[in-house]
Amino acid sequence: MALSGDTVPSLKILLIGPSGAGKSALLTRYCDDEFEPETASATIGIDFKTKNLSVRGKPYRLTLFDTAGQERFRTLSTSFYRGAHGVIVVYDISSRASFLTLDKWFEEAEANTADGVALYLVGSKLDKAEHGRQVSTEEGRALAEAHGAGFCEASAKTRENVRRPFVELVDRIVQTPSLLAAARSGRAPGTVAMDEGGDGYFSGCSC
Amino acid sequence: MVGVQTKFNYAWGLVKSNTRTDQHLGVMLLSEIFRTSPERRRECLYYLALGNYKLGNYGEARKYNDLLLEKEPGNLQATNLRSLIDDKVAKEGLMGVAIVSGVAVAAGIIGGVLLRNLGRKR
Ligand SMILES: Nc1nc2c(ncn2[C@@H]2O[C@H](COP(=O)(O)OP(=O)(O)OP(=O)(O)O)[C@@H](O)[C@H]2O)c(=O)[nH]1
Ligand SMILES: [Mg+2]
Repeated sequence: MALSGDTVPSLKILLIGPSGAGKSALLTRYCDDEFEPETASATIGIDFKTKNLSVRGKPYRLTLFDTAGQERFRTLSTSFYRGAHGVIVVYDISSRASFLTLDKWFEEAEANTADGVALYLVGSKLDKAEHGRQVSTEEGRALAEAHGAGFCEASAKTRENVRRPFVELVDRIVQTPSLLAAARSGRAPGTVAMDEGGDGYFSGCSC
Repeated sequence: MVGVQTKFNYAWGLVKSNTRTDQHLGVMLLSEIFRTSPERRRECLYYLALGNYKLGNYGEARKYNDLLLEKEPGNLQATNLRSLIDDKVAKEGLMGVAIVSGVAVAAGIIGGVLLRNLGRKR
């Protein structure tokens, strides 16, 4: 899968969180700068995108796994985590219910990843803050801190803060030598995971 | 009796495998679930398309994927899969090079045997 950049460290990042939180929208906005509310449909199983990102002057190749929040696809979720360097948990600031499920998601992430894996919490749909907010920024930040996770609120619709979770997460990852060491070694964890746990499906394509 | 969730998980895992026999079995299980469990149709269509794509059955892959796109025209996963399928069809044709060359090898072997047999008869 590594076409041009064998020397570029490859990082595997997972997006998790309740169905409808806006994981796919965030990722599609970040990778393709697109947002189409009318046609959105719940993710089937798992999907992935790749994106190159430079942090502190160094390039990284991100493999971003967009998992389905629907319960029926969670029974195999442990296999998604293999080799992950970072996990982004997404909830919807206009849905109290989505916020209340977060303990479960953090628990799953913490149980299935190595110690020191980078965590990040995103409160999505920030464009609804004025009229539909059901979770305060403080509550979100407090929960993130309790789990040692980074935090921000973002909107895929308006683009506000869309890059921030990815940049800050990668920054955390590259400052954790043990995580980065795994990425530098020939067996990029992302690559391994694509064959074993995640998506060997498209093997070779870089969608 | 195995539950439909367990069966689907198993089929999904098989489709993800890199072994043709696994992929084949996965596709068979998925067609079964597709028939018996209407509430599982979306994911069955998607993984039937994906499984057939991996097997090189691009015609079948396209058929299932189009059924999903008919119901969900904006589904990005299906849209992406469609362009993957179209790429392959453009390069390899509907049957896939792997299969065609497999058939050619088989034909070669059979042909060889036939010729040998003919030779013996003479
Ligand atoms: N207003 C607004 N709507 C959003 C935003 N992000 C996502 N949505 C809408 O929320 C709905 C769900 O978004 P998705 O990205 O499909 O949710 P998901 O987390 O991927 O859901 P699953 O795939 O089922 O896990 C869609 O209708 C989106 O258009 C946003 O930033 N603002
Ligand atoms: Mg999604």
